[in-house]
Amino acid sequence: MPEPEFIPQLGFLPEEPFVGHKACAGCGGTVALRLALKVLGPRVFVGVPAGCMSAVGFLYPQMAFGVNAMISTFPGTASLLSGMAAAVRAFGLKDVHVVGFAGDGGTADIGLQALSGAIDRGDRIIYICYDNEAYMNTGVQKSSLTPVGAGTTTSPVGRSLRGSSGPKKDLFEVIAAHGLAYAATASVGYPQDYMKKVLKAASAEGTSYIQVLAPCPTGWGSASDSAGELGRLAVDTGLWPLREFEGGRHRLNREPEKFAPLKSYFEAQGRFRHFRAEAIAAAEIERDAKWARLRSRIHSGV
Amino acid sequence: MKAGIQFLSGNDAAAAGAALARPQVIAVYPITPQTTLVERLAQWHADGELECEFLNVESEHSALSACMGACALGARTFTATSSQGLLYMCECLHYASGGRFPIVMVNANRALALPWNIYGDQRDSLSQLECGWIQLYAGDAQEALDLVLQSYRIAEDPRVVTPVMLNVDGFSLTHTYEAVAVPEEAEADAYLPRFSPAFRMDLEAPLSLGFSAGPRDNTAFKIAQMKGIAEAEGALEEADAEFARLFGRARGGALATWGLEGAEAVLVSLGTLGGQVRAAAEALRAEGLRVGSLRLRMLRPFPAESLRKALAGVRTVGVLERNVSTGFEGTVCSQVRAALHPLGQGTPGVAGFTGGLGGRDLAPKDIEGIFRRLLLHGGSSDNAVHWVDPGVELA
Amino acid sequence: MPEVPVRILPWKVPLRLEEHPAWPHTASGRLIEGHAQWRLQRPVFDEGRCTRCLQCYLMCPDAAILLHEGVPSVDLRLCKGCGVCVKECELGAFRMAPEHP
Repeated sequence: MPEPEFIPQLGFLPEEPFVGHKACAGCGGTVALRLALKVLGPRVFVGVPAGCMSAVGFLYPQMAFGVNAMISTFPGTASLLSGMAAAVRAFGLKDVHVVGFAGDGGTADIGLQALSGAIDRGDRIIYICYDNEAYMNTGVQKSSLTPVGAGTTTSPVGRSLRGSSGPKKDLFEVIAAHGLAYAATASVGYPQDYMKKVLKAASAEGTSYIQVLAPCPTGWGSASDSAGELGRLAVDTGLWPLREFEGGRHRLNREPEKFAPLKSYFEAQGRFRHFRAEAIAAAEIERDAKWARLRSRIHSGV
Repeated sequence: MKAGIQFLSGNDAAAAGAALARPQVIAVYPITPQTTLVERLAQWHADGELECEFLNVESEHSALSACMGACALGARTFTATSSQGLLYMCECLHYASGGRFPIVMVNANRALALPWNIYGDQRDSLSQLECGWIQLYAGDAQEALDLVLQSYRIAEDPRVVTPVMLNVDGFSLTHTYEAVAVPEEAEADAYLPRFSPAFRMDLEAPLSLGFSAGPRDNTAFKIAQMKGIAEAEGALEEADAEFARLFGRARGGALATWGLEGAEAVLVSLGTLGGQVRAAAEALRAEGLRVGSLRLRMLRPFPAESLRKALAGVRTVGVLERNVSTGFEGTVCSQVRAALHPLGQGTPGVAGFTGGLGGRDLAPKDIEGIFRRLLLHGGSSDNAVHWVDPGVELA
Repeated sequence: MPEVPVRILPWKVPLRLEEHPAWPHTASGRLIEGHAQWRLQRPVFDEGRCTRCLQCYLMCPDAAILLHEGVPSVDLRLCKGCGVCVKECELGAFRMAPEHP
């Protein structure tokens, strides 16, 4: 029998911090936003760039954010947050959080420079990348975080080319290489783990970064009820390792002995509809290689 | 920066003005010829003389973006840029003005690539006239310092609530030296009190900022913006009058004029060109020629009514700028033509002159030559650009 | 835990300039409409099966699960009928029924 697992600071009486938005039914990204804001409480200053979350949350006059929130320019999430954090310091505000929610395109591509700069300055901000693995707001275009072989509108499955060609950029490694205060991956399929990580990020002395897998039924071509399930499957198949970077060291949150079959993950999504045995086998090899690298680094004590 | 008379460059003076304005957050990214301005601020901050949050950002886009974030929480902010940097933050320029963030930014006017050129001309800010910022142009270092303080009063004025771009000519103002009176901190504080924002993110009353407004509602916000910026000319005059009361220095409003009484030809210009034009006008008046100089201190909002009042009855108006709008004529020339057109029958003839691009020097004889040409030939019957000493033979 | 439903307030389309906000900023948390009309199906809750694990409450993308003394109920003004609650509840306390039978 599942027991309630209460998270401290859960609850936001009486208003929800993010409700009434125009997101697609079943959107994983909104779960990521809502849970993070629940954990952080009402004393927040939020920055959200052009993308799904701002597009669905700030359509005048429907203001879905119940807390202080601002749409930033697409490349400028982290720099907006840096400015907010500077004002927080200038005013000597205590017990507040400056937090941003940007998509994978807005983080790994157009927003990478500003994020790198913010980490370099050590600005006390929480940067949450909700990774749905493509530019979803503009209609499912490829980003550098689109996985190999996934079909998008700018990397379609055609007669000659079969979906996105390059590997998914290991953005977590890039961010961790900055040596920031705290970084983690998470998944909306494991909400308690995600919320605990948001709490950790909130108390980090410096910049923290969370990359949370946020399945997008519309863009992934999956059922509207599947965000949580796919979020769990991505982790259980080993495609989305749950990791942390803290105190200068990497950590794996789970090291499963056995992974769930990749086939079950791919066949639930239209963007992988074209995958046959060969593509699945290649994905397995890549997953195993990645885990070998991750394990060897952890166990060598680096 | 010590108070009293100092021998300062335009950049030093602007920096002194910025420091006296007590911005709470300064975002800094270097670009020639603005660099010595932010270097001064950095040194004062490092010496503990300038209390602020000082952000070394990783691009100009981030500089303005950070200023907006800080401004959203109610902080007074400052940044500076030039040329390529101004263009890099272009998206943020529109964002800041549309979002009504009263940021003050000094722009060191510099040429735009390509070809690459780090020297002074006016193309950068003139290419951004549509971005919704108030645009002011300083003619000397004292004016640069004074206008920084006045810019905050104008920007933060509850009738205005619009960011201000204060332009200083690259090298010809940023890097030339003059005696500048630096106010005492207490005097500056009396003139410019603490920022009291029209809106800010408040923990007790949370705001959603920068929302989307669709086809039904978008225009309303643009009309509101137009109404706000339109108040800036009056706000400049008031800011100047109050400044004169406290500091004993008055520069007037949007226009700085000399010799307009009975002038047959007037040459309009921006920034340090204005000083050169005035010197030429003085020399020619001494010869008995009826000429005058008009330096535009404010380009946005465009002081059309003031311009019409000043130039009605003048036979010929020339416009000299370190700029050209490729494919048409000088930008300032177009603005002046458009403003004078409603005079109808009494509209002066207008001729546009482009010179000094890429930092090319304009000599007194060049400018006197423009005046003589205006007196001889009047206004143009077309939109031809008259190139002043282009450095290459034309035809 | 929200025990009080979110407020959805009526709103009149501004016809005069003064009726709009002066700038593109406005008070947070103001809703003028729900999304009931998006639904093709709606959740039906069986309280008898519920152990109050709160997984449905956590995972609802639209914050459409209210809790009254820890017991979930669905705010049908906000529910878009995505079915996540059905998927996430390990006890089968939710099932979907057609919105338009």
